[in-house]
Amino acid sequence: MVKLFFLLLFFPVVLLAQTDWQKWEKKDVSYQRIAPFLERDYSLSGEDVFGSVTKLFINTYWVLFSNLDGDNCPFNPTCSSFLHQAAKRTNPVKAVLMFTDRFTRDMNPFSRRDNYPLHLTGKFYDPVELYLLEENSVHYLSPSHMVQ
Amino acid sequence: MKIISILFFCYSLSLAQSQLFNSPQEVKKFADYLYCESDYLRAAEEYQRFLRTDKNDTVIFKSVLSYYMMDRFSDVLNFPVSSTKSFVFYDDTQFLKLISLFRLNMFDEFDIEASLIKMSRSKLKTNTEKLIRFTFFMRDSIASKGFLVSPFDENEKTTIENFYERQQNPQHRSPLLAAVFSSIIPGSGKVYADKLGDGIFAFLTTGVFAFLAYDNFKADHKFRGWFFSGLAGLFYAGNIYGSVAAAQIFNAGVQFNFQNDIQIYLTKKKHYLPEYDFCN
Repeated sequence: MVKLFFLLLFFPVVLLAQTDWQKWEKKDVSYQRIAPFLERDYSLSGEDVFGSVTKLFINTYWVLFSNLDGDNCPFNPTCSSFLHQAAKRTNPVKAVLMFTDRFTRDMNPFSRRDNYPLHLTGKFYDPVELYLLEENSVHYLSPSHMVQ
Repeated sequence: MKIISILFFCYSLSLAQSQLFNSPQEVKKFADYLYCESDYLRAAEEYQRFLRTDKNDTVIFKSVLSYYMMDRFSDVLNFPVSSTKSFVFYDDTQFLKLISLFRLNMFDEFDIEASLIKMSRSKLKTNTEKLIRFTFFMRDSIASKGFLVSPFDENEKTTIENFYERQQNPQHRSPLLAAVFSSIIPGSGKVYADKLGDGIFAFLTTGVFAFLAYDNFKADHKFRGWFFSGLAGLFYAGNIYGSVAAAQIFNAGVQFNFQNDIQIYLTKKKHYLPEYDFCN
């Protein structure tokens, strides 16, 4: 009887024993910097002719320059994404004009804080909607605003 | 032993809890305490508990007021309140509902509600009229200066007149003028739309490409000349487009700041809600 009791006691003890011994193990830690901007969408599906041409151009730019250069665009969406979104929302001429205007604004390093609201990513929020020149498309956000 | 037991029993009975903590009066007392401690969420819950078994006009109003204090305007609007004038806080509750509609920017519903309410207290009547005037500013509706200023006393009149002037003569920038300016001097449209830095950089970019085009043509590098001409043209046109957009954004900013200033003013005035002293 006593033996049976000890045997029964033994199993729960083993089952409930310390299992987090793994925390003392050696870990292979990666010190590689996480770069979410590298998770890009290169697909051309759902694009029209101009959209496909623009996307091909942007993909080439991403592969040859942006991926190597790093996440340097101060805006959200980035200039290349801005062009892509503009191409999707408008016609080719307007998209190119919007992009050149954005490119000029990108070159101006002064008083960005006074002109653009901050995005949660730490970038300045400058969406395509503000530049479509369509009625009621400008939903003004104060530069003191934080965009999620 | 028996005597000890009897004595123990008697003491237990005499010292036993004589109050019922869940009685409506105790619940109300606790809710009032929470309300005065500004714990409006729990106060509202306790008031609701009280109202399940009892009816009290002050408690109903304090419930609504608790929701209002937490900025839970949809709860204020959905709170079932008697619409008869026998309800002591009829005017106050209706006014709270009006402020809630105002703060939710539901101005069409505000108009309907305001036309239905018949207030008996003159102060709240005046305050309602004041809120109605502010809906004109918020919606950018046209009304005469006399009509807009009429419910306000001398202290407020200057501010309201100032709002009226700002509404009538907003410091807008013309998108067309911005485009014309930028087509004459690249970047000047942006400067006109209050984007000085962008204007300077637009001027420099277009200028540099134009110079490169000129220089290459001069040196008989035709391909490079046309290439830079194309780029200069692209940036020139892009800048005209961007100037129009910048003027539009500027105008949206003017409207935003105007409405923001009204909100700040009304917040300072507590949306003309009277002071209720339920705690002293």
